Amino acid sequence: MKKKAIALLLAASMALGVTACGSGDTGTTGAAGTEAGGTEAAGTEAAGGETASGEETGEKVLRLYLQDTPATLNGHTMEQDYDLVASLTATLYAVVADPETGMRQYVNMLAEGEPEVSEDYMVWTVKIGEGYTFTDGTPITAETIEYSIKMLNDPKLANRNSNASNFVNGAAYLRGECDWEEVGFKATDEYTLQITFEPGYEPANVTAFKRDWAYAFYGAVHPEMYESCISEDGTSCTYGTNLESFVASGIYEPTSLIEGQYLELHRREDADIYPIAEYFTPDVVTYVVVSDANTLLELFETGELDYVIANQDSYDGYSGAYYLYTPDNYGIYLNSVSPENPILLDVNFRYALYWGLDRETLVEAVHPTSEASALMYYPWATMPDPADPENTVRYYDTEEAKAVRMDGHEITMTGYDKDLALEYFDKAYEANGGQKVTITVKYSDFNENNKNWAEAVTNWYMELFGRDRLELVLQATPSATIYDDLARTNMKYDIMLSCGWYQTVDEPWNNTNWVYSGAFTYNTQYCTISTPELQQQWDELFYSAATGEYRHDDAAKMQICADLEEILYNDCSFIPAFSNGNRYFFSSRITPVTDVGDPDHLWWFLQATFN
Amino acid sequence: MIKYIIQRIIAAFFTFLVIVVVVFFVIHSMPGDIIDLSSKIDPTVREVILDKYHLNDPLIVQFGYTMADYLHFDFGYSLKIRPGVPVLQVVLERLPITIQLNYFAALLILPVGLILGIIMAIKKDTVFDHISSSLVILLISVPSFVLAALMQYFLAYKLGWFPIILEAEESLTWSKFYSMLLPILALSFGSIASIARTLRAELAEVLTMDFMLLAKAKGLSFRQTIWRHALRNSCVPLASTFLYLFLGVLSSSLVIEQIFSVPGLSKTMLSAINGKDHWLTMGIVIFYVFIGLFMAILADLSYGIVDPRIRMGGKKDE
Repeated sequence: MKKKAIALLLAASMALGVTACGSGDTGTTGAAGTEAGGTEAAGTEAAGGETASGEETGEKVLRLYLQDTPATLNGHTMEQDYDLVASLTATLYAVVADPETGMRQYVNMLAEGEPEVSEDYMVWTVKIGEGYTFTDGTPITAETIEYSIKMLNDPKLANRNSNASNFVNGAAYLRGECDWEEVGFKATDEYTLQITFEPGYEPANVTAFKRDWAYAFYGAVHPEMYESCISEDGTSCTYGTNLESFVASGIYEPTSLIEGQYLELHRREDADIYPIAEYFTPDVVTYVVVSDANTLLELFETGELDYVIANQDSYDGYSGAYYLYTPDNYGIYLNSVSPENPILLDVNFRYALYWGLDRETLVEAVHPTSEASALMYYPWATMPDPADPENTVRYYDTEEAKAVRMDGHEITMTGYDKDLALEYFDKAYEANGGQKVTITVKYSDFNENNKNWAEAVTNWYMELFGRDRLELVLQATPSATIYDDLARTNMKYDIMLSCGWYQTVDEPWNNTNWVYSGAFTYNTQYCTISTPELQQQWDELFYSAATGEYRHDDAAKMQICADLEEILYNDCSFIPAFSNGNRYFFSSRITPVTDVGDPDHLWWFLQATFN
Repeated sequence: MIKYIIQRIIAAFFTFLVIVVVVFFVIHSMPGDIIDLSSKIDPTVREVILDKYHLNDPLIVQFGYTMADYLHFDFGYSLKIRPGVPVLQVVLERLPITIQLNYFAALLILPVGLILGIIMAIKKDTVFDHISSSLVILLISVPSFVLAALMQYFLAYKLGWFPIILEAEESLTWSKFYSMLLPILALSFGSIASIARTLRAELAEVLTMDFMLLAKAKGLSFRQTIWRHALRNSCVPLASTFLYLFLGVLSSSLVIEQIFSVPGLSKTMLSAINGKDHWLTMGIVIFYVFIGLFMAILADLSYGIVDPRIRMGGKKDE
């Protein structure tokens, strides 16, 4: 009897184990309401490889990878995968790569013609084209967009991507203090949207307006489906959390999703309703989830992926490398206001650290795929050309940028001058009473490279200035807390490495908005300028460009941009070191749309040519 | 016996409560903000979100809200990893593949570990024993993720005998099972070696005892003496090990899941911790705690089954 019971138990547990996986994948095939018959069948094919769905039928299959399947397809709540969700979502404008220059272009998607803008830039009117639909045939009109923006800013849902504050009365609506009818976002008729911005939030120009409205956050959500996904108490919404609760409206629609493992997109059969569809080439896009770097390389080399980012040294000689320097600047933060380490209050000491860093040598040794940069802004940042506002100009090619000086010295890309550094250090050392300087240097323990970088930088400085005069003590810090330590409200550091800041490629003046101490910007404020007078001067300049009198004046902003930069150099509480870089390899199946550009973005991949 | 089981369940319940309280406060004391500071979140939006999730309240008040929800078996919603999706649903989505992987690993571990241990004990001090013992030490010493990476590189990438990552298929097909072999093997090797080593030592000792001589004298065959007498006595110390092995394998699958792109629970837990998705982290931790305590009770009870001389719940003076 006992043996029989044990045998029965074993058999039952075996059956449980074997069937355990079958029902676990709730985000399964078949986009809700899809009309694109024939595409669903491809959903359950093996990920990647020769049998990737669509290849047998001659479809162009682009094979990509993700760290994880999208947390949600709902633009209102997503925190990443913006480009992916954008490819599934109809927005007023879309971003594409210019095949000639590789630069970003903002083109109409739902919008028709150019937006009408009032003289004070406060009221914008956008015409929406007719005939656009969700994949289930539901029309997309101005009312659809108004509904989408209303739900994005719903007070009960409290979506993280809310943009309510941008509109007149929007913030009050979000706080539940007024009705939606009072908010400055209206569909005035079936195909016309009128947006009234809150002062200070109005777009600086048409390009900025198009850029903002190309984000997937502000795209169309399917009203009927969205309503059905809202909980009874109205505080949560499951829209886009699986394929059954999502209706696509973009060029592509998701047809297969295995949570945490696989995602497949198909080009809509009626994608040509959007004029921009001509930019995008693949019929099918497959994503496998891979987070291990070695596994990624193996999949790429066996032809199961169409690109890979590889930073391994073993790939140095690999042909076909495509370098991208992202607009992340990394460098060294100096606590120039802390009385605990008075040497850091001495600007000569900070100058010594700036000029004493041999960026080329150190970056090449530790971050070989990155670019040494001693510049405060993204080296390739552009601005509207004041002489020709339709075109852009590289900021560092302008006279204003070239005229910037740091304590009278010209700024260079590499920013290394040993003699100058020693001269400044001697001054600071003398002012310190000839006493040995000991400072703790924090760095993130996130990976080995951070440690190597910290060791290389500190050793370099100690060798350069003399170990008998300078001692830098390394202190590893959990990566989760490093930006908390850096925040201006905490300032728990003397010198901080492994930190950087993201920059917008077309607004260099706005790149250092984390320095601003006023209330306008809602970025976390990091670092600080060492003297209140300089800080005030910097704040006033920043405010005048961001939201003040020069908001719409390109020429003035160019000069302000240079002035802001010069203050930062001369204060020197932050020492730029390098622009982070990645090295891309592409399979021979595809040719990227340009030799330069943003392979960081899905829309760039979607314009590849299939060989 | 029943009284003993009830006592163990009550004790486990209080242990569970203590762990939940500690985990709640530890997780919520983690540095950093639950709302991502690096994103450009409007201050008004930020305030509304903080209010919605009671994040502006003192931690003890938040704890009260959480416990009140838990009493109704409401584990909340994932805030970041799967925004808007109930925690329980996220766990149930990711759990099956983890269980399946570990189940197959356990199916391999037990027979192979036992058989290897028995043979090593019987053939003690032979060439087979020496080679096996060296192999066992090697497998115990080398972490499972190293074996996983090596197997993936040589068997999948270089030789092409196996898929590099888990096949993306929804149900368990042959090709999916085939693609699970490498992670199963990677998960199994350490445990197989551990069981074999323990059993070898126990069995080798039992084989020299007087009652084994008696069994032979009674006319039992060699196989009968091993199965009926030696093995059963050797398995007493192993009884709990078997159950804890399953728990161990469940938690050690974290890196293996990363390497073979298995969409399991371990990977989700890591993402939840890194992403400060506290509700999801709590949900997954509660699951692991529950499994752990359940296994502990089973392990205690298993002693009595393996060796009837052990009386569960008996007092010293009874």
